[in-house]
Amino acid sequence: MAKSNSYNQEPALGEAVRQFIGEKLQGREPDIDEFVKQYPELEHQIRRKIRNLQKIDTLFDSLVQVDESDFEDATTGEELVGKVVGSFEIVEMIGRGGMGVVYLARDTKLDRSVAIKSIPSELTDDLTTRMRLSREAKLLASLNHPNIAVIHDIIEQDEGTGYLVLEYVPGETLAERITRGPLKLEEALSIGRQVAEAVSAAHKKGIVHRDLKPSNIKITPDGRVKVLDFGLAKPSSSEGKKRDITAAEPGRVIGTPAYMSPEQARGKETDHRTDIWSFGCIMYQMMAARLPFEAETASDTLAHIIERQPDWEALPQGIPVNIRALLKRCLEKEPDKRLDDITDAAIEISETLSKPETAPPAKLRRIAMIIGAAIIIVGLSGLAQLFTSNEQYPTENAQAYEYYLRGLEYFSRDDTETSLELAIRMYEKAIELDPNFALAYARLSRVHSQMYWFKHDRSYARLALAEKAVRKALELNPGLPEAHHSLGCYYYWGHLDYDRALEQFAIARRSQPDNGQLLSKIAFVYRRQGQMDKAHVTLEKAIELDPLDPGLSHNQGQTLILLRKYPEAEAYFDRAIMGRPDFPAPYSWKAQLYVCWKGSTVQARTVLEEASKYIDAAKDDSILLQSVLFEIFDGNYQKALDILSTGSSEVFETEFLVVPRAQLYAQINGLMGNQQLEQNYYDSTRSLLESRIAEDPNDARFHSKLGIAYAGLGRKEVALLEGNLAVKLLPVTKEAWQGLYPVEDLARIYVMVGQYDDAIDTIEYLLSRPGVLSIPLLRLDPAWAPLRDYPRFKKIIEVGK
Amino acid sequence: MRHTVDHKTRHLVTMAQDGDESALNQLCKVYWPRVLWIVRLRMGRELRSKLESVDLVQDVLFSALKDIEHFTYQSEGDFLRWLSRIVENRLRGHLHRLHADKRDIRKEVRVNNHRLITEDSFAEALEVVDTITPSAIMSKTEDLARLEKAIEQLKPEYREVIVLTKIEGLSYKEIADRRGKSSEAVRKQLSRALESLISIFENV
Repeated sequence: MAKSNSYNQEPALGEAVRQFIGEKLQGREPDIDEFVKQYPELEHQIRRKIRNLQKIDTLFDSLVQVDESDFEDATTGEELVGKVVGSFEIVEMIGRGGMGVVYLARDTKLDRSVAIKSIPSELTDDLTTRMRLSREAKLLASLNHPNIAVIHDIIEQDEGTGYLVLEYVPGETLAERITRGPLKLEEALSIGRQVAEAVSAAHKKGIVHRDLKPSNIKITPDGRVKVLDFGLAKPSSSEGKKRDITAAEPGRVIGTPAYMSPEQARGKETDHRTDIWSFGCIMYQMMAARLPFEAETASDTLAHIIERQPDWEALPQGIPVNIRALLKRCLEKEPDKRLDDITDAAIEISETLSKPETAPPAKLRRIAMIIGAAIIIVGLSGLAQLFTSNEQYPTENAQAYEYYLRGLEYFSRDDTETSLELAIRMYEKAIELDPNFALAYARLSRVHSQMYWFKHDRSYARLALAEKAVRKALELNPGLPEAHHSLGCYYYWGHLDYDRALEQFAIARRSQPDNGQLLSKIAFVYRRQGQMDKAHVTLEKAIELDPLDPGLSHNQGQTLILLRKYPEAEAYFDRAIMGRPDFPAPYSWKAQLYVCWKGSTVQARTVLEEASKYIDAAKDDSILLQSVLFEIFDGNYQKALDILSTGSSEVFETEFLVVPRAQLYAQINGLMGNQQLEQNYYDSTRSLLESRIAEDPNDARFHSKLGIAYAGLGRKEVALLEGNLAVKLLPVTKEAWQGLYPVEDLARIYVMVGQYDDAIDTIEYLLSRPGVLSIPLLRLDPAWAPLRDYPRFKKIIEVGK
Repeated sequence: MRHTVDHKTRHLVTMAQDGDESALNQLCKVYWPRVLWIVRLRMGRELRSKLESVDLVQDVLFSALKDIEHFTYQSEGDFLRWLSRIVENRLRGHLHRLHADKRDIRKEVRVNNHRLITEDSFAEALEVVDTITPSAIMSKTEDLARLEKAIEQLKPEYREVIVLTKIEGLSYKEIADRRGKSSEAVRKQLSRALESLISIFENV
């Protein structure tokens, strides 16, 4: 029925509608009420048709005509300026971006500038999100971190609206900085360090940024970095359903996903490691002056993020190896393989920054490049050697291996406590990942032994760690040459047990006859045993095996000084300096060479001046100490005092000796005739050394100097007692090199207390064996001045001429 | 009111042409939903179904906006038409490229393993927009979806004449000249097209 009815009405209705449309299309606006009167029985249907027509028209209109209200969200802003929100006076609009409008406002209560922005709508959606925002804001504020811009307050207004009161940070964003021009390495590292520290602090509180990018990083005019918008990105996991990546960040309308991690790009769950990825992207961009993943379109960019490797070649040559390695670890696609703790990045970068000059000048760089190329060739064959024999697969765990390699890198970097500690951390991580990683245990042990040897930590606990690690290595792989090598080091460095050390080194050498490092250890043991010539020859062979290690050349130079073969020594120090222009020791010893050899403070000073181009002398104890001594030698006492005042350490400490600063003051004042000051300084030297000895009664270095302090104070008996005790604690028979220093100090004590014959006996003994003391030095050092009129001493000096 | 909109759009376009990213951002916010719908209405199911994801559409819009410096502002409607035309052309270009060599699709474009190619991708794109900005047009989403379905079912020649007049804003004369018909014929065809559209619209 209904059907036939509608069928009957259809032609009439169609006619009516056509007529209406026709009139409309001709530009007439028919009156609807009038129009329907023509078809009373169809009024209802016609009205419905017309309503739909109007609806369609409106829909089309709304598509092609933008409504003014559409702009409101985007352009509101100015109208708030001058108004008051809570206790904040809105001063001006300072930004407008994906996250809405940002105003500069005055906090009238606390009289400070703040930034205010409306809470992004997606953060007001639900209660949990709001609670999280507020909790994280509080946590961040409690951190009080210098590199994090905090949320001061959250002003909630009606349902769903509110404002964030943020710390106002003046300055440009890193994005703006990058657009302005390329960053210098130091600048990039400094910014990177501060960002890493900020993120590290937040991560420790469980807060993940999730939208780390240069536009969220501000650089204040004084160079301080502040990371903005912490706690404002919504965690992907909290969203009920998986959404498209474009939805994962509702604030982002236009722009680039360049800093997104692969897991973000895939729309998967994210954790703190997503920040580490973004951090890697930012670091890469600062250094390479381009993005690691960049394509014409966002989807291509995402594809690159997921699939491609960044162009590592695009990083400039000057970027240190460890920083390259760091970037690679940050930009590891698989979160599980990625750097797990951004604190490591902060440490790595600050370590790099604290290294003296990283870039040698052009001439040296060129030489270094040639040497570098050679190292690559030698290095490859060395590597091949490492993986033959029974070390084919040191570990199956790639990440553990990477930590192991980083440990090697730190260990070979320098001898500072920080480098060694970092090396230990790396090996420990390697072992954590692969508890059966014998080679890592072996290496770990060696670093512990070295911590002890270099007197960074003279505790038995340290030695116990060294022993435990090497025993574990041998338990896992009894034939491992590196483990025997390390056990040898443990005996040598830890106990001066030369026989056992040589025994272990010999075992290791059976499998590694071409290992120059291992052979050099044998040479060093000979040197400590006093077999200087044998040491010299052996070390020469080690250098043939490992010609580019500047450390070996440096040591050969030292051996030649001890042998008093000065002209030969010179070339070795030059080689060492060329290889590592940033190492202080070769300069210091080369300077020493010129005073020992020629008594020339002029040449010695030239070497130190050369060093000062690469090294901050005020921070290197041995170089500063030498600068002072050379002035003393030349009688420039005031200048010596001036140089002394530039240093900061209370005690100059080298491997071989400790010299309290006060003792140098005492000595110089004595030479200047300021007796009262001399006495005062000797007395403070005494009390300082007495307390150090109370802590570590077996360190000969302290006893020697305490003897000198007592002698300076006129306390002859105890002076001689301490001087002799030092010699007994480290007898030359046990330590043919380091043991010479207490002996020489004893000679000084003899001079100070007036026992000249004993002094000369001692000097003759020192000159009869390999050692640093030389006739030109005897002439130069005013400590021996009281002997100068003494016939026996005159005779010694004459022989030298 | 239209004057205000025109003024604001013109202002934003000028700023965007000067490289102001936040202006570009706002233009995008305001125009993006419209561009999407327009492209959607114009392209038809067949082509649309070949588009793989929201990202592609969004990319195209962004890259089109990057060309903003080549645009000479005349009126606000011009801007929208310019934008949607450029977006559609690029989308078609993409489709052409993608389907010219099937093997390259996975390699070159879509590797993020999102859900495959669905009809819903546009709807999702709009959903994205919904979360971005409360826009006047968003309240009409349901009706627009109905309109889209209705247009889909129209005879191709009806669809064309509706798109040309209602979206492109062409006059009967302009269409007539293109087609070699009389203006009267175009008007009559539009009338029939609209009648047909209303009927379908009522029933979808």
